[in-house]
Amino acid sequence: MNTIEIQHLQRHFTVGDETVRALDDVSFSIAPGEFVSIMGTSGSGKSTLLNILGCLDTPTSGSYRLDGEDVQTMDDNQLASIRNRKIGFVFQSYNLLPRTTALENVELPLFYNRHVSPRERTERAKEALRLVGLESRMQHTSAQLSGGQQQRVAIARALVNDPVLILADEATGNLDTRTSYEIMALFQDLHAQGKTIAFVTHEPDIAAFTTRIIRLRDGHIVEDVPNTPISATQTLQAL
Amino acid sequence: MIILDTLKLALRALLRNRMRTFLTMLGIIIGISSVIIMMSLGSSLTSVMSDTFSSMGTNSISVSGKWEREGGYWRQLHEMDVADINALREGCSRVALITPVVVTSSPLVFGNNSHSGRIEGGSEEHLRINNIAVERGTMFDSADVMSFAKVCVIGQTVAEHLFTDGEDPIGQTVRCGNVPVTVIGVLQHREKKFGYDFDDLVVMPYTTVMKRFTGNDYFDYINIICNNPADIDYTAIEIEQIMHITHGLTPEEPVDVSIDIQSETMEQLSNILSIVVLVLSIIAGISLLVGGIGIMNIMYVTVTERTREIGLRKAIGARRSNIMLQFLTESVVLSLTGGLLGILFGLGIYALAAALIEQLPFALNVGAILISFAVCTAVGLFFGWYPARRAADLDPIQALRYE
Repeated sequence: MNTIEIQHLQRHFTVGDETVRALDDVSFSIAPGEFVSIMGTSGSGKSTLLNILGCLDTPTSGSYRLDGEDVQTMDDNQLASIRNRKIGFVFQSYNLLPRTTALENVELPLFYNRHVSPRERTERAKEALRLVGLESRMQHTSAQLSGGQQQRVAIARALVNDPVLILADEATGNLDTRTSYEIMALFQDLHAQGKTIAFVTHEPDIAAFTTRIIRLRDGHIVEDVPNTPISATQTLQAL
Repeated sequence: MIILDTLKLALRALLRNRMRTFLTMLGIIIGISSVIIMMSLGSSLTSVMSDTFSSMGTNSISVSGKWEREGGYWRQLHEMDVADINALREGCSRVALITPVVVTSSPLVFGNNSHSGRIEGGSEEHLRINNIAVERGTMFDSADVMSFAKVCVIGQTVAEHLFTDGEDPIGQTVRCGNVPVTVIGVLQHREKKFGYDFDDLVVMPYTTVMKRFTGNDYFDYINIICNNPADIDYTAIEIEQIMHITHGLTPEEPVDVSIDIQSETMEQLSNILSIVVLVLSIIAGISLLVGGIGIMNIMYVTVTERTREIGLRKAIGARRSNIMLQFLTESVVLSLTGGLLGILFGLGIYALAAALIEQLPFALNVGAILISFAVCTAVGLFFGWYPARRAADLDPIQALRYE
């Protein structure tokens, strides 16, 4: 079973009396363990696709199946629940809560999962922070962390609910080159551990670290090719 | 999300902006302290009043000579005497009892102890009319009244002051001025009201008081008791007519006596009290309204400030109801904390007033406190509802992009 199966997906917006086809008949699937970058310029429809993949938005028509569940028919509460259980978001601007410790930020998704006890919540958050190499910074608030560290906290937050899909939205966009590569090295690590990652970016050198590149233009897929990734760790050493 | 976590979240958010939180609560604090002061004041004054009046009896009328100011002096227009009693006994048709009262004071001495006491001279019915019970011994009877008997019944304060060595007061003879008087009874204890000690009292036959102490042939007032309270108003009119005629007044002249109906006085006092309570209620209502609007305003500000946080929470799985609950909890905690401070502040003010004004008893009004908590919860829910709904309705995509 594919992690993501999208068929004839359409997403139209009505602006005034004009219909904008942000996504027009898009079909693709992502198998478990893939590290896919979704590329495109602004206006290509990649943000719209990201919102649909992240279950923040639903398609106008077509079908979206995430981990075997049909998303296009879900109501708001079901969407919230599937985001909580199956998706880990990593944003460009980290979106950590201010004046809140790294640990508490990472615990946050588990607050909205009734089946996780407070004790388990803390244990899993600590484990996620260890995974991103921040075990020594758990009690630091966002203001006490560098940009790269904040993004690591955000990645830990995306991992804590053990999602079927990690969705990164220009996750290196606010970082310098070296830190970007460090973050990509972390994503490659996670990929090596079997995580499925969809990485939205407009930077070709970031897409080069992924195993497959989907290119969007004007709401259509114009290219969908496998990619032999270069190693972020080696690139870092070469810097 | 567990309730405790939501509560923690709300407290943390409120503590983040301490000054703003406090200023927002001010309206609630003022409103709730008014509620507390108002209800405490209202209930203790009402209880004091009704206690005082029930001890006087609500179906009694007292008739006394009217006082008039004349050239800088107060002068009594008429002095109630035996002729008045006889006229009233003859003329009043629906009356159970007519009895005179004479009031004076005199030093009391027993052994080395002395006490200056208030002396009420009345008939053998005096205690019954005033709802006072004898604890030990007996009340004097009509024979004592007829024979100017030198007997008295004393209140507990008087007994404590005179009999300090644990003697039984009954049967002892005390010197009242120059008159030796035998104690035949001790009155039951009555609570102090408005600082007035009801136990500081000596009751004697009015005949004895008039002959031995005042030396006057008139009374201070005449008590008239109706068996049926419904007859009070009718009797009051009768009394006025009888006094008018027997005092030889022309129809144009106003009557020269005051006819005081206890129940009427009580009604007037409780009317004044209810006006005070009404004014305080309006103040409390307005400040609670203003406080509530303040909460609403600050909650809108909070929701706007935290748009990205709300977006994030929704993105990682918060339902509409989670966000709603989070912000409602915050507004309810805000108003409840304000309410708690208001209760403490109100009780503080009231305790201070009770300490300064001896007549005002301090009583913790549990009902007022419960009502305050209920009102605060309601205010928090009502005024927090729309801001919380706005937060819950935010589109996560828009909210995450909000700058």
